[in-house]
Amino acid sequence: MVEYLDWNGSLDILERAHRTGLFALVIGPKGTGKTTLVRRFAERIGATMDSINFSLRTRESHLVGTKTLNDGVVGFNDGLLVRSMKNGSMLYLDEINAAEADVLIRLDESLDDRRQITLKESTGETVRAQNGWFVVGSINPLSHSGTKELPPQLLSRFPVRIRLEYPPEKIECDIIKKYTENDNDSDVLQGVKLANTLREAAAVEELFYSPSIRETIAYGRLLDTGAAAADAARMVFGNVYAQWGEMEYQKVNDIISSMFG
Amino acid sequence: MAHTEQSLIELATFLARRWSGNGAITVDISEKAGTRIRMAENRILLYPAAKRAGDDFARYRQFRIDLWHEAMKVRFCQKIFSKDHAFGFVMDMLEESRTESLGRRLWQGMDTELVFSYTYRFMSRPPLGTVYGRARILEAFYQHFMFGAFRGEVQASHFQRVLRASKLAKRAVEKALDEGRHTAWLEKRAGEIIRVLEIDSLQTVPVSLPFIRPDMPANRNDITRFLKAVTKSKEGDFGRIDEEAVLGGDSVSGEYRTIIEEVGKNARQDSVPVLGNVRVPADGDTDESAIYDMDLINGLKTRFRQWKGGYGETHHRAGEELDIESYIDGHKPFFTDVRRSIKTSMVILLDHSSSISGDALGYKKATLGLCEVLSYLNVRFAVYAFSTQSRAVVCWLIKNDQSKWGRTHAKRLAQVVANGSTPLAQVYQKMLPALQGRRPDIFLTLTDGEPSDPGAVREMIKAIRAQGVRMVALGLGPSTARATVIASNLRHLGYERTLATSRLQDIPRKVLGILER
Repeated sequence: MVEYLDWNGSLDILERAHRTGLFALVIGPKGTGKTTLVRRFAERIGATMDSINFSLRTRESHLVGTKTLNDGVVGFNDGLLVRSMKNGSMLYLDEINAAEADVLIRLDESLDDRRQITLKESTGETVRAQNGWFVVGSINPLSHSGTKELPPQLLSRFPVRIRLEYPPEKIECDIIKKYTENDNDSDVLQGVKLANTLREAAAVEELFYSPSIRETIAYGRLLDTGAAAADAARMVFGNVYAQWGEMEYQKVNDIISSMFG
Repeated sequence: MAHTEQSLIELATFLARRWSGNGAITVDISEKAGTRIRMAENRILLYPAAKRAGDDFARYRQFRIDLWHEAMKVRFCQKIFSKDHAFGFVMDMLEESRTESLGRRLWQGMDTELVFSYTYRFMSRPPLGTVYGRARILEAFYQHFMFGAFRGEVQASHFQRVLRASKLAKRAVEKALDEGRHTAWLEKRAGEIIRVLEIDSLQTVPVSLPFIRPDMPANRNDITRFLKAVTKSKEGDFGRIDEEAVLGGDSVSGEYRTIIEEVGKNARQDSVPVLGNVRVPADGDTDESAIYDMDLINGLKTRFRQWKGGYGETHHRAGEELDIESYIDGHKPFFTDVRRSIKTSMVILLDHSSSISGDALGYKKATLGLCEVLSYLNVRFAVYAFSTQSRAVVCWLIKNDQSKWGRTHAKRLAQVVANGSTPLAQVYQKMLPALQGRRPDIFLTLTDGEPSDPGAVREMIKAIRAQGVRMVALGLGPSTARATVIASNLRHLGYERTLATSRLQDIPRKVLGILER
């Protein structure tokens, strides 16, 4: 497994949050390594991690549980939230702000100081979280499509907040090197510079898409195969913009030409 | 022309922002001002591509490199000098050379295009024999420093001075790069160069010098000859230069083709015949950037982003995806996701009567903000305005419902001068043929007063409504009370819905509220 490069001390912050029993929220654009960070933290503390990726399709039942109908008998299957509370495991709520409001209300209930939830869907019993139950959430900035503002009461359930931005150029190059074998530092650096230029444009909505660290790693891997830097850059960073039309593609293509020729 | 400029400006603005690292830069094309930077306004002005030498593709390539050079100055210069006098002219040369070297460290793919641009720049310079007076030595210095050669014969008495000055300038730039010096340091060196050239630092540089031979058809032999001269001079800086690649320009041919296609597309969309007694404001030299309120536009985009990309869930009795919980609870158990989009088409009529003139700027900013966000949300909309010109009411077409909102339309809006009364019925009459042809769902009138012909307006509204168009009016007033009075009076004229606002900034929100219903 590739070693995690904790460039801004996020693991330590999570450690403190865990020690004090405070839930943590990781805020940052997609592809900045939020999930990798949380996964590495779970490994570090030796916790079992349950995780759920929120979307429009996530519904209350996924969290709390579903009624079942077997041979005419109505039963209840625990959802991920309830199961995690009962087991006292670590729960990772990825992209919470992509969920609909009614789903968030149930989260709100379980994450407050009492750490309990009443299963109104089942027999009305109250489930209390085991000691050591730890929750980490993540949200994308509002500029990402499909994201909504997190209600303040839910935000307050995560008093420890970690801001995870794209790393500085040098760090991103170091991250790429952990996944690749090539030693062409200048090509890797040029790719990272290109990614940052496109990220800046996407941040002010001049482009529809912002490349993630995953993509800079992919660029590094293509360099490993002997691909020329300009070709690798077009494959990973450039061609994707063609889906928003020829003009959008050419804008990015010009930037690639300016950087690589 | 306007369409070419619109597509070029869109691309140029994007590139200038990325190259310079300054997200606030705007690019404009100006034949009068030529290529220059207005740092305080975050603005780059460029000499039009169409007025440059060579074929269309060559003109585009020169335009692009000029933009890159200006973007590098924005990125690395502390201040920008006017090129109209000798000191500024020399400073600009030094700064261009310094920023070009700094820029090439990051933008490593520019070399071929730079050599191409130098070839055309050299070719476009005047032969020294044709430059008279004190400008001749300055021109000789420029040619030697930039291209390492002269066009024509250099005057014997100038030769040594030019050589010494050019050497001094090159050394100054190299030292600035090695030691990380900036504009202020180079300023002192520029003074020394001026002294070596023995000219007055405030000597005027003839405006015609930079573009002495515009529209010049380029002959292949000439190009090759000048390219060879430039290659020889630049090989020290640029390494081995592939002359075929320089002439081919493959790295930018794709984007050039796209621009041409975009231009054609925009021209076709905007050439929908203007029906009725409607006029299109002439393409003037109005600066439309004054009516762009980026705060308002970005605020609106953030606010209404949900409408652009969101999905909504609808439940049905039959379908493909089953929601067990809904089934057990006895609700409609099947669901589908429906993309939220606004299918309503809209015509907006903007009152530009004299009463609005006091607040014309705020009004234009708000209505432009509205158009920007409607375009962002992909709403099909047309914009008209009316004002009085030479005692006759004129209905202006700002944008038809086919074309994509852009700077050409903003320019048209900026050009309408608020004047005259509010003869709404006359305006509606002028617009009627256009409305009959492309029947919109909503016809929105923004006005700050009651019409001067209420009886006739009532009849016209009835006629337009009979065609299935929803008539909506938004009353603008100086206070909430006054706006409400205007709106309630408008209601009596037969509008299906009337709204009121006293804050111009609320206009976009109110209008988008109409679409939401």
